[in-house]
Amino acid sequence: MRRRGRIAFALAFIAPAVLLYAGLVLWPLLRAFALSLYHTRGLSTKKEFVGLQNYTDLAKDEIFRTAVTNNLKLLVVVVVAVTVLGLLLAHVTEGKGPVAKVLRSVYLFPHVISIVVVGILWQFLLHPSIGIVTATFDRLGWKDQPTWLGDPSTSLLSVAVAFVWYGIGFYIMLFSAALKGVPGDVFEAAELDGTRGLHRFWTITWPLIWSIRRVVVVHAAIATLNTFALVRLMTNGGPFRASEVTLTYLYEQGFQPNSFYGYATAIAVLNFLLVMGVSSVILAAFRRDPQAVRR
Amino acid sequence: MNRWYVAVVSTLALALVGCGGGSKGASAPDVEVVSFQGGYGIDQFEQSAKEWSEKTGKTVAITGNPRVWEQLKPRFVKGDVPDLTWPGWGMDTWGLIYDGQLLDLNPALDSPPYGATEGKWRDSFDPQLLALGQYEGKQYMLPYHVNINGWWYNKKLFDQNGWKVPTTFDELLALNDQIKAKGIAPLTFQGQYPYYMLYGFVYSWAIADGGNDMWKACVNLEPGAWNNPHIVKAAQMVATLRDRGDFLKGSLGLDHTTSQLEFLKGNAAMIPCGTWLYSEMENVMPEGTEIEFMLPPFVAGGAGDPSAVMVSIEPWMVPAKAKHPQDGIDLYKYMTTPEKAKEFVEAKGTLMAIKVADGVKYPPHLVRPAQIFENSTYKWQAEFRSWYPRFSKAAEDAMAALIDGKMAPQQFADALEKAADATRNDPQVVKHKVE
Repeated sequence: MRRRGRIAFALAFIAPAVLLYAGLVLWPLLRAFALSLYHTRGLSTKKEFVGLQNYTDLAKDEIFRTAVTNNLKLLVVVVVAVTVLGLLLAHVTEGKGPVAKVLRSVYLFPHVISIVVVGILWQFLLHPSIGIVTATFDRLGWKDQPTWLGDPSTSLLSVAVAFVWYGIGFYIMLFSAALKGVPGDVFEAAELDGTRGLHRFWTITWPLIWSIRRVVVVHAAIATLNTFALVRLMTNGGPFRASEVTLTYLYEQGFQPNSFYGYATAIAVLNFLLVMGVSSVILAAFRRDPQAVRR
Repeated sequence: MNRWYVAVVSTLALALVGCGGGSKGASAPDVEVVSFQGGYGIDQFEQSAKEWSEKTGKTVAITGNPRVWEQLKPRFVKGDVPDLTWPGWGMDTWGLIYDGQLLDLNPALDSPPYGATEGKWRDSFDPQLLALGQYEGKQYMLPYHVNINGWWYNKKLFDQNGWKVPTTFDELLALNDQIKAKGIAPLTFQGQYPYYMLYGFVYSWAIADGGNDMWKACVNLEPGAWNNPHIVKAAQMVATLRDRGDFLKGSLGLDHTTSQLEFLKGNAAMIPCGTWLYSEMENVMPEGTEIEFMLPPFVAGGAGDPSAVMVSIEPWMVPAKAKHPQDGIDLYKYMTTPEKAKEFVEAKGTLMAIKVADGVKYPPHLVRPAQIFENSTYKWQAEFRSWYPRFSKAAEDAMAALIDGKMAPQQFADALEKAADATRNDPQVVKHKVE
């Protein structure tokens, strides 16, 4: 009786969280899965069950394929960029000079700006006639630079740059915390052994910050795969789909003002699976604690 | 004591508090109006509602929002709808019609207009524009104000340099050389939204060259209509402008407001856009700016009507599940009386799809559009952008590719035909036929 009472007591405390999670996350997810099996406009209760047709249509949809490919391109560029730059700049913030001080006080600025403002800001920075970036390149003698957001070969890259600019502060913060977490005596011991610079980084720092590395990569991957506002504001997916991503395509199909609501839901489900899949692969690849292997 | 019992009870209590509430206020209005709140605001509608309310003794509640369709969609699904609405450009109004969410207004149109005992309300509307709200013989949408599409030119620049508004494509090319000699780009466009370029360049020129029947075949998605020689020729005209460097560099990356700003600043002499450009950009217009509306230059020797103009309506509608549809209709009848229409024109500066009382004074920027609209013997529309969004988006992608030099004119036309073919054969898409 006493034990049963304890279990019930525990359950009573877990219940609110479980109920909220089930009601606000699991149930809508299941509903979305269900809705993706229908043709519906999302404008009335009318819907027609079509089984997997939305998915078979998506498999043939060239634009969807372009969007997923663009998502993956963004993923690679952004994840590599934030990891390399984030680590590099985190090292810089560790210094004692004026550069480190300035960097420490400003690096989080872009990240606290609303993403919508970031999108508009970058649209102006890259503006062909009044943009600071374009004007600077022009001054430096690059006369036939591309129209960054209007050229299919540079529009996606421009979005990636804006994304990295926006996100980098957060990753510098994570890496800084990780670097501070490495015990000082480890570095001292390494120094006594004559290990410095890059060698010290690869043999000491890099293995010791494995857990943060994993967090950074997974977080950046999820954030890029869920990109919407930046693309929508900076290029609207164009020109001619060159920077289309899954969520902007979803928005186009479900809202704008089309109402292929079931189809859009199928895109949402596939994007969910894509994010889950990619995160799982990354978690698996970065799973092992290198220290554990050595023991 | 039973601690777990206390915990369960308090959890349930919390949950109940969370789910509770939300009961509606007691004094529901007689008529609920939900309106798009864009550049024209909703103050004129509020004023009309107030007057109608005083005349009828019924209460009206009006709410507006710049993205009102987002609020309306779930309400339509739930069946909790207003009695009269202008849901704005983001609403899939044809979807509402297919799903049976709108009321057929034919009986109302056959009844007398506001305050009259005879005559038909129908006669208050321009019949060509009324037709844009019909589907399968039923009238689901009623026009209010109307936009016409064409080009705008920088009148000040033109006057200063003694340039004449081009009436044909050849005149345009000659003029563009003079404009470029001054270091100004002849044209810019809303590159992120290629339908502006489709309306202002390709469709306009194809219709000028090929005539009304060609356009009807296109709108009806007849096989071979979209890659006919007139479409190819119109695309070739765009390619000519592109190759001559007549477009402002980088326009493809600009959205509507930034490109329009380039035009207003005098960096480009002309831009394709609808009559709304003036009110859309009024707040950021540099001081001393003078702009004027014009028809796209005609194709010399073309089979089309030189007075042809593209129109689009801003429709109002009554939901099928409205609680007081007759009151909603009566209020709209009041809003569409010639006197109220005159007030709207003078307050907001727009063309109307309804008869306006005599002596109306158009604001200066609207005088020319009003003339063009009145003198036009052929009003064409591209409503298929809402009927066939996938076709339309494919056309937009091809448009951007054409203007970027990634597609040749024939390829462009073939891409449109391919997209038309896909839509024609898609059983999911409801087809429209224009007579």
